[in-house]
Amino acid sequence: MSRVLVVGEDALCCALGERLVAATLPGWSLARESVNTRGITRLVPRLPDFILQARHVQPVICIADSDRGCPVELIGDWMMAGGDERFVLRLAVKEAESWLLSDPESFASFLKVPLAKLPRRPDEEPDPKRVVLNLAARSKSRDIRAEVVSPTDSSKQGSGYNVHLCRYVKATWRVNEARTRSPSLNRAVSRVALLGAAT
Amino acid sequence: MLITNLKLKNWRNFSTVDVPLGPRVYLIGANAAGKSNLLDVFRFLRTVAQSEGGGLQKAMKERGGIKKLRSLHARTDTEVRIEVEIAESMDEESERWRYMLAFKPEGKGKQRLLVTEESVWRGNTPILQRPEPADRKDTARLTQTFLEQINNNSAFRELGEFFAGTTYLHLVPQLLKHSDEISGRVIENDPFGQGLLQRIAATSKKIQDARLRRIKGALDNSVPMFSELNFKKDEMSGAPHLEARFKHWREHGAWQREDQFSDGTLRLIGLLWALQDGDGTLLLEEPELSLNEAIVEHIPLMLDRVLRDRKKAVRQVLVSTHSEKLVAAIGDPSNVLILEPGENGTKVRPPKADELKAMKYGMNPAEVLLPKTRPKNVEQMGLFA
Repeated sequence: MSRVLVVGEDALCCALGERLVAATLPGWSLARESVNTRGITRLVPRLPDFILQARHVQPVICIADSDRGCPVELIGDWMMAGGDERFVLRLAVKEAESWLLSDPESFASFLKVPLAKLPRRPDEEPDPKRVVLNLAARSKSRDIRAEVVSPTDSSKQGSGYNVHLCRYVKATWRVNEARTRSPSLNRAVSRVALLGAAT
Repeated sequence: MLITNLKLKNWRNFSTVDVPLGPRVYLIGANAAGKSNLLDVFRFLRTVAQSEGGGLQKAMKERGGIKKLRSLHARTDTEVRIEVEIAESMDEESERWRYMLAFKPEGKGKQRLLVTEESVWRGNTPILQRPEPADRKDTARLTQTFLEQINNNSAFRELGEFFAGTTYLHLVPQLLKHSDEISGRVIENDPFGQGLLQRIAATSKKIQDARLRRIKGALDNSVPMFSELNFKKDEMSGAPHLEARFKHWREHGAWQREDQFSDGTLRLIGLLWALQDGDGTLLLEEPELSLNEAIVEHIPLMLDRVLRDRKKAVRQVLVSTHSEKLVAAIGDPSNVLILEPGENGTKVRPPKADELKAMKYGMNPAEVLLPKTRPKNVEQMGLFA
């Protein structure tokens, strides 16, 4: 059976990567628990390691946010080290949260907010994380209101942000629904699918 | 000497264990997986081997009797068995000793704890094989091991001395800092480091200076502002004290005594002293506690460096740890043992071939091995829904 390793810059990116694999590479399994590098500054210096891993052990899918610039330029810069066709680096436009917002029906019901409040073109939102926080602050669920958003500063994430959103991604987020609204996710799905075609 | 292989049956929460050991062993596992229980085998053997105030019955009593010590999974077979292979060095040519000890309750009457097997092999030569005919005649003999008896262990006394030389350290800085107020009783062999100052005091001046110099060298690099470390006796009471000077806005800095040191500084000093004190197996329980992450990632190097500088033979160190930073910094991942709890007790294993391959190509041991020790569904912790 083919195996793949997921690397993410945070827990949310890891969860998204795992769902991408499940939806795009039927029959594949995760080589091991996904690697959460806890921050982009710790992910970038490890890229040569992950490329080595992809070359010699199994394909690697690496998911990060692109909140610091244009994804195409960033991928180019980072892959100067010499990529490998079995190494897939994908960046969610702006932030991973835009991919969550791209499946509005299930996300609205998870957050317990009206569907109409969700943005229509998530990839074009300048600050998708802010959108998620604003939505969560209006949730009918007290747990979501109190834990996803910081109780002292509503522009910051709360202590349960990752736990709740990862739970959502793992249980309800629909990749094939979301890719129809997010071009960056759609490109990521196609690129990951190439791994399946190559083997 | 060092232990090159460990086999266990029904020891605490392990039904069976059979693992190779090297000069450095890092034990990783979830909480309650049994890291301390595994280290306890070596403390048990130490007590058994101590000819003064030790012995099998004492070691068992300290652990609350066989019922507490035996694995709960031992339903029909109630015997506990420990088997260790010992060598002078890791060299293939080096002669292997084997010591095997098995025991169980008598099954009748006073339910005395009896040795069911005790054997010693040197290479392929059997040195001891019990029960002997005399043991069968007089079962009271089976309440003691030959290891603990000077009259009976002359052919393998070096093994006994090796076991007895084991050091266990789980330094609790508060016990050392507040020793006056809590007037704490020091447990035998001082596992919590309360007697660190007395041990330093009991060392000859020359050795003391050399060791403190090495400790100072390590602290220089890890504790900011640190400048000097001295050992002094209080002029009035004669009580021993450590004094350190920290660079300070005052020209000459400020001297501080151990009760003013940070927990981390004290633990680091205790750890560095223990590494240099003694020759036997050293058991370190979570050396990362209260230390800054940046220092923790240097612990594996620190162990190697301090021990390499010794003139004497190899010293084995077994470390239990939860620290991602520490595990990530382990140079040779084959030194890691993974404790995986299961339905029939915890299993202990070295890394598998596919894990070793992943670590050979870019991944570090923390990324590959630590996830195996994580409790399932840990993300759900703190979520009651």
